[in-house]
Amino acid sequence: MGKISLYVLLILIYLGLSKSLKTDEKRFYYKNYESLDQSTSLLRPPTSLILLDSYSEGLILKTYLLKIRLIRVFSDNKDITIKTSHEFWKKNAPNIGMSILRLDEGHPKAEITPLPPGSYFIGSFTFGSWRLLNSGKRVWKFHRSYRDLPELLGWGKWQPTKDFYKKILIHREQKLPFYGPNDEFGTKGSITKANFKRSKELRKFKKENFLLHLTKLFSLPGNAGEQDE
Amino acid sequence: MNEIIDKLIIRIFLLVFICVIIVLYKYSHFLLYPSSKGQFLKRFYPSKNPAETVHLFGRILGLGLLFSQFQIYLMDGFFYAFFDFFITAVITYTLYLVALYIMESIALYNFEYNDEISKKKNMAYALVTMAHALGVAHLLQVSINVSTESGRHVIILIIFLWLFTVVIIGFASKTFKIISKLHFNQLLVQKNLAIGFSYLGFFLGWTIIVASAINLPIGDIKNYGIQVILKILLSLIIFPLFRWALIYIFKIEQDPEEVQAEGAMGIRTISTGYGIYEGIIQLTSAYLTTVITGNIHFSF
Repeated sequence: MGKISLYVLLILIYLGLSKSLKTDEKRFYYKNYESLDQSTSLLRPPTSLILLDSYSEGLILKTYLLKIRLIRVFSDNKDITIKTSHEFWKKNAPNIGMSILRLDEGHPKAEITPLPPGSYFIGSFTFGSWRLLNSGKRVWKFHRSYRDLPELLGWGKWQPTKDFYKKILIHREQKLPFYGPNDEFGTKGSITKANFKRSKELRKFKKENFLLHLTKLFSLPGNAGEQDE
Repeated sequence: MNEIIDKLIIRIFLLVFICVIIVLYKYSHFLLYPSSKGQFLKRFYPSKNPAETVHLFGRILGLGLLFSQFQIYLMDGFFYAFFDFFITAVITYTLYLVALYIMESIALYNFEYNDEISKKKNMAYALVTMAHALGVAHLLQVSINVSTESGRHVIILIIFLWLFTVVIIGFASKTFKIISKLHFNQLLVQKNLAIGFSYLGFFLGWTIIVASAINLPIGDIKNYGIQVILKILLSLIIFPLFRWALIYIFKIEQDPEEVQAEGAMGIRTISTGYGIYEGIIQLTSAYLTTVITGNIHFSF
């Protein structure tokens, strides 16, 4: 009994020490929007948070991670990875490529309705203006000093129209998520897919043919070089 | 042809240098064991005292292990290569002797070399000292390898790793009472070979675990220390499982009461077989543990 207690204690010490001394752990834990909102070190208003990716690590015990782009107008933009709760992670599963939180100057609480990226900037004449196209449509154009924003927001060649902006305002008012008139944004959105590479795709295991693998394993020294070539 | 002769001369020169260091060991033996003064100045007859043979050749083998990791690069010229080798060799050689002295002070504080080896010809004692010689040499060998691979502050890192490993292995040697069912001091006094073999396997097993733990690239010293400690803790979790699995698979009977043999003057004592079993099971479990703690590479 004494030896079993000692062994269990050893396992607990190992797990405790691994957790507290894990030196490569630089990811903070945010349980939900509220805890994220209270992080003054991250959010320097005006700030818009774009969800770049969501994934989990671990085979048996999972860690849920969100990769976020902080678009902070008056300080540097930053991509960070945060740990989060399963609920919050699941809730944000359809929101990749979307702006999930916006904090305006002078506003104590952040706005958390999922909206297309850049919703915070569209319509604000500090950042840009409406341009009339030959087709009669009005599209949003950023000022020269903010010309990098469309790339950071993952717009690609897409430009928001005035109609699009009106829909954003309606959804913001009603606190309803908005993925674009044709669902162009969000995890399954065509613009998001075209402009954000998900780490799941980057880290995808190379699928190997089992027979080929077996042949390589038992290949003779002379044949190995020929196969590589 | 001249070049080949040149290279051969350099090799012979270095061979002589290593032999000089081994001669140095012969004389430093008096420093470690002042009571044995004059013993090595006479001729050595291995057949007369097998315990002394095991003790001495354990040390010589240790020296061989120690020097086996040295790399000599002659690209920067003979002087620099020789100078670096000389400095590193002398320092590691000194550290080796100090580590042996510390280990024997921890494990064999009740015993005197001259009494046990020269007078009693205690083979169990010789096996214990051989375990120390081989174990400490292997740890220093890995320390040299890790320090050299880091590419900078080689000497400081060797000293740091030496200190680190001596502290760990010093504490580890005290766990013999927990792991083994044999009474160390009692059986060593009785010259029982079982304790010699059991301790040999136990100490070499620990050496393998610690060597595997320190065999990591050194970046930041603090992170390195944490990783080594965590790896040793993980080994402590894995090791008993392998030991239990081996005993279970082969249905090994391990009660020492039932494996007693007739000793000198009819006194019941532990059989050598039991000691061999304990030693081998520790060593095998330690080797298998290092597979789990060091050789699994996760994809995330």
